Amino acid sequence: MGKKVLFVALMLCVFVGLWNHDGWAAAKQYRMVFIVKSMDNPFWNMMLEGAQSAAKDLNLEIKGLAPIKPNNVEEQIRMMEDAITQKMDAIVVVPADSKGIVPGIEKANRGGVPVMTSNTRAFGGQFISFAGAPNEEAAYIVTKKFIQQFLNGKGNVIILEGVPGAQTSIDRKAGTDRATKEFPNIKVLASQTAKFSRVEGMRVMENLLQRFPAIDGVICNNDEMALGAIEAIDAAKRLKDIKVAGFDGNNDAIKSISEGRLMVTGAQRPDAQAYWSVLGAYMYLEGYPVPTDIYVPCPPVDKSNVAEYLKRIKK
Amino acid sequence: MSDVKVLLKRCPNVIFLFAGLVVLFAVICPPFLSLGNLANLVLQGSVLLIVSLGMTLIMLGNMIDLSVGCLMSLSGMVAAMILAKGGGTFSAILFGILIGLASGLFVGLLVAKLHFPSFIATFGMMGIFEGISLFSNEGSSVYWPKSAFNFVGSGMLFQVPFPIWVAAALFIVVYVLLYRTPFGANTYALGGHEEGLRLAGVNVRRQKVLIFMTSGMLASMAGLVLASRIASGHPTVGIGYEFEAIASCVIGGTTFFGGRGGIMGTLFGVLIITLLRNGLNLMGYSTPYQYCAIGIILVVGITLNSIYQR
Amino acid sequence: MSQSKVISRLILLLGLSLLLSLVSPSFTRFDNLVNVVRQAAILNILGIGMTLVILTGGIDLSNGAVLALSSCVSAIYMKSGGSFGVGILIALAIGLACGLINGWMVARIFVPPFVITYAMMFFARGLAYIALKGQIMYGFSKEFRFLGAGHLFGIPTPILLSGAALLVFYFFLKYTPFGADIYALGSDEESSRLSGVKTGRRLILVYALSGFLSAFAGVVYTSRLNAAEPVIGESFPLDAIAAVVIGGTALEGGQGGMVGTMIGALIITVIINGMNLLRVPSLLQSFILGSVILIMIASQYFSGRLKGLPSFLKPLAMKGGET
Repeated sequence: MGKKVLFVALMLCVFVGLWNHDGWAAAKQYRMVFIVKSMDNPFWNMMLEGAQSAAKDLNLEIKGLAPIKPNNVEEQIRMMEDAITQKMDAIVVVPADSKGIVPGIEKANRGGVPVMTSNTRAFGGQFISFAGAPNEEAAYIVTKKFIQQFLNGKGNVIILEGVPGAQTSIDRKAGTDRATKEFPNIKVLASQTAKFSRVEGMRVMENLLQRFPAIDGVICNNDEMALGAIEAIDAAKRLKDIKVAGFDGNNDAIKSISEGRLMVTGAQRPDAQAYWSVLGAYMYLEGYPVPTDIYVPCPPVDKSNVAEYLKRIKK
Repeated sequence: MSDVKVLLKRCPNVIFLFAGLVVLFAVICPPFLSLGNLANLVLQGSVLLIVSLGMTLIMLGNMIDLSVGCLMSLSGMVAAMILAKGGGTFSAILFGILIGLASGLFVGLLVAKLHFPSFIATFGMMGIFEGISLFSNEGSSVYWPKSAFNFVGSGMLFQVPFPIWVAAALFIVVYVLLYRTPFGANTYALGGHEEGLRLAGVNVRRQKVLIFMTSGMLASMAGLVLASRIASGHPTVGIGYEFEAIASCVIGGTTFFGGRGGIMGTLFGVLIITLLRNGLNLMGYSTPYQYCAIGIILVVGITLNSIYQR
Repeated sequence: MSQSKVISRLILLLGLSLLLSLVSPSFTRFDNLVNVVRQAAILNILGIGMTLVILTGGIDLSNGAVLALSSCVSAIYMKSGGSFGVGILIALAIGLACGLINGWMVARIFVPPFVITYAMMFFARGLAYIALKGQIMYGFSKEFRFLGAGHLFGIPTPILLSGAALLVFYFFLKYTPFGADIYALGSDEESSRLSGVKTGRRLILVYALSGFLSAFAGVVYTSRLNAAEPVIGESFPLDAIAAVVIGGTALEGGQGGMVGTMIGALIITVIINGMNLLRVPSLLQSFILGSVILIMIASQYFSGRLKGLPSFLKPLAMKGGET
């Protein structure tokens, strides 16, 4: 008898706890899911915020989802399957793997749910369009500016790459390589992955500092790695000799530039990319033609123009 | 009649937990009970079920295998590389499974002959598999041109997704193996009392090796289905499955002590874990809240389980 | 812990270091050696907690998640103007609380340690994400940063802190009745209970300490990284277990100790450091680490040490009906 009472009591507690969920509200125009790559980078949170502000402006209901294991394409496919079952009006997805996401997209095609890709391309299946940064081009511009302006066209550099296999990593590395090749007096000492993570960036940089006594610049394919690298360089008291470049334009990077620790970054506007993606899906649902590629520019940011970005953070 | 009774007796308490959760989610979130969603649930649980079947055998034998997740990724990579180089679906599947058998043999020998504790042997193997997977294609995924292999993960047979067929078939095979063969009886006995089994004249070493080989084979099959689902061989896609498999077994009533539990329980353990993610998703919980909810529900479930077992 | 065991581990460590110094001259540079010991400090602190838990025949999978949660919450407090002292106390309190929950569930509700710490791992990590709402807390006060990035008498503070923790808990384990009880719990729970040891309370204590130490490690880690984010520590449970096992503490429980764990942590860190110096591609590193662990265990076996099966895999409830 006691066991039964306990059982019921426990179930009631769980029930009550689960009751306080934010389910689906009624009477919005369209329901969409927005799937990003992971929870561990503020970049994705800014994307989801951008998506939500689009939702508010366009009267949509958007559920933001991220895989528990970072960059896990299997979980993303499961989320797409769930969205198809729930008969969502559209799916916006940032593919963790440009080819690996294709089965999910094809399932959505069969299930009649339109798919919009954001930030990272997909290589297969039918989708509305792509909205994001021209990664290769933007990385090229930022790297070139870094070398010209901060290294005077010569020196020893280290490149920190992103998550292996991700299209963004591949594109940005390609852009960085294209830039470094234009400067014969630039020597690339090492090019290693730090998986787009701040912690990894710090760890890898610590080891590289041990290995190379003479480094002039560190080019990081994203801000998180750059910020981690800066911590390591600072702890080794070599920050005045080594200059660091990042990419993304996240809040901490902007602050770091204004403090003179980070030299330059490429300001992706993840919130803008997300907004454009949602807009593209919306336009499609409303029957308008949507361009195949929506490129959201990423201008380089350094101390000279950091002020306006700072203002945007304060708000 | 008596067969049904035996079957019912074998049904562990976890069924009630599962039923309770189904009712809970159905009440709170009606779309949960739709046919489409339940089908989705089973589909998403199929990979986990296949690998958990193997884990059940291992735990019944009072051992543990931490390397199955990385073995899954490795099998997927191997199959993908064969397909990418132009090999046929048959050879991809064959070699994928061979990897599982071979690794099972190796680990089994480490545990049975060299008396490595299974925790450590499989912990080391985990790193080795992960390393091989990562190194074989510089950390990137391997893709292949459209092939019959894609059917394994994305195809449908009589309106039912193919992974479900694979999982169901393997469930039946392992059921027979466990409850109708001497191998199965010995597995239970191994967990309960290894020394007694040895004294009864059974080759305990061979039994352990066979268990690991079976589990390895199941893990690699799970890895193949997974690779087909994501249309690529990914070097780290399987990481984490080992813990989910162990949790499925434990929730299903297979204790670490060995000798108790079974695959019926594991089936429901898998369903419960999959159901949690699915149901919470449906309810609009964002991922962080899902984390917490899973933790709480796991604890509640296990508490109830252990109360009922005493 | 038996002297010969410690010595054999030490020989392993020294042999490894000797090998490395021959192959890579930069290994023996003073600042590299200091680097290695400093990098091992956090693993060491976590290893102390894990040693305690494993000695009782249990396991703690939640140390990484508890570390993340405690550091995130205290970070929020400190960034909104709180003092670093209270921030540290908050972190330690959270670690202690999580550990107490783990311990209570193990000792009173007889949930297998694997399951409760697995569940706590999910729960704590979820809370960490919810607390930080996807942000990363960055940039702490100089005083706080001193704990992870500062120096005292020329020695990096993490080394001093982990050394202090080691001393305290070594003493605790070797010279107090609590310590003796913990060993007894691991070797044979039933008989220790029958001989009057308050097994329940000891178990709760052990898990509480593990949670506390996870939070402590988190303080050092956060201060070193100068950032708190919910994702940190994913690999810590297995890393800590590896350090403990390599250090010679048996997974069955009942044997082993702190010093071994410290050496185990150093061995792992030396291997990783060596791989970096030798420019081993990062993709191969887990392979090498796994292989080295297997080789080490094989050598342990051949010196007749490790036998039997991990005891945390035995149910704690061997009572009430089961024979």
